[in-house]
Amino acid sequence: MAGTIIVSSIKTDTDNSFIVRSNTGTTLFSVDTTTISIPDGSITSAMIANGTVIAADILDGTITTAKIADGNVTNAKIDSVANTKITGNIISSQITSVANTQITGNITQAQIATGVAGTGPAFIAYANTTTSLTSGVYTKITFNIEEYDTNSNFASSRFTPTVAGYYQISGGVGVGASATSVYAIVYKNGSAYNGQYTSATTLQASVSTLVYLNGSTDYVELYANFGSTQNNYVGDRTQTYFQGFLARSA
Amino acid sequence: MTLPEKIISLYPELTDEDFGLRGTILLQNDSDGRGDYIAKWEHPTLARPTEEQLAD
Repeated sequence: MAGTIIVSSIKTDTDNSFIVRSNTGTTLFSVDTTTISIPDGSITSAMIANGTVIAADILDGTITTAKIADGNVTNAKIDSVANTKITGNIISSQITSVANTQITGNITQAQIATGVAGTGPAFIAYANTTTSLTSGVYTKITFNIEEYDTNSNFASSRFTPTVAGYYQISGGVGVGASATSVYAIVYKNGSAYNGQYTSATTLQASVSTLVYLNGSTDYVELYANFGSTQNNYVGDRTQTYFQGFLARSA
Repeated sequence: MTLPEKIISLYPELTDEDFGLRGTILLQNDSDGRGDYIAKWEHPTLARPTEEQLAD
């Protein structure tokens, strides 16, 4: 290496310091009793061996963003990103899945695809045998055929849904021959809830009602009363039926 | 004789308005094998018939 290092300003023992300059007068380093001082920019990256500077040697806040080259921070180096650090929009292709617990708002009707309906309990039952009852006695209709019972909530001619909510219930009772009156009534928990009375000579009465059922103990049944000597109800799917579905969950 | 007929024979003064969901007497059958029975008797003057009176 050409050139001459000129040693100058070596002070006395009482000062205990000296400065080393190049032959052009540039200060290379200085030494005092406690430190060796090197001017800014004197040590280039080429002078530092790989692995020589470890993280513990870097003071907090020392490396600024300007010192990080584009593309040098990989995904593996990112643990999390605060919401406040996201300034653009996240597009759908960047979302792989969202947990239910992360959805705090409501899903609107517009966000539900066409043709998507609820999967709440629903049933259709009917009587296929003609059965007699006592005129003037409110009698529970026996439905021996279950056409649908999506949630296995219909048994013994009683619908006891296991999902709480508002149910649209309807039923019909056909009479074997003309009767002076027919009364079809939806019973809830053993008591009359809603009924339809037909006083004219008729062959059938039907009832439809919206009823809240608690999803555990509440149940509905269909009763009928005939005000005449005619005491048979018809075993016919089109006349004597009982059906319902969850219209709105609780 | 049916249950309504037995009750009418005991109390001929009863009318159709006394029976039913809006009346004071409700006769019911839950199709559970128990048969017709008096589910409600709230008549203001007539006593509820006894089992003996209603027996065949």
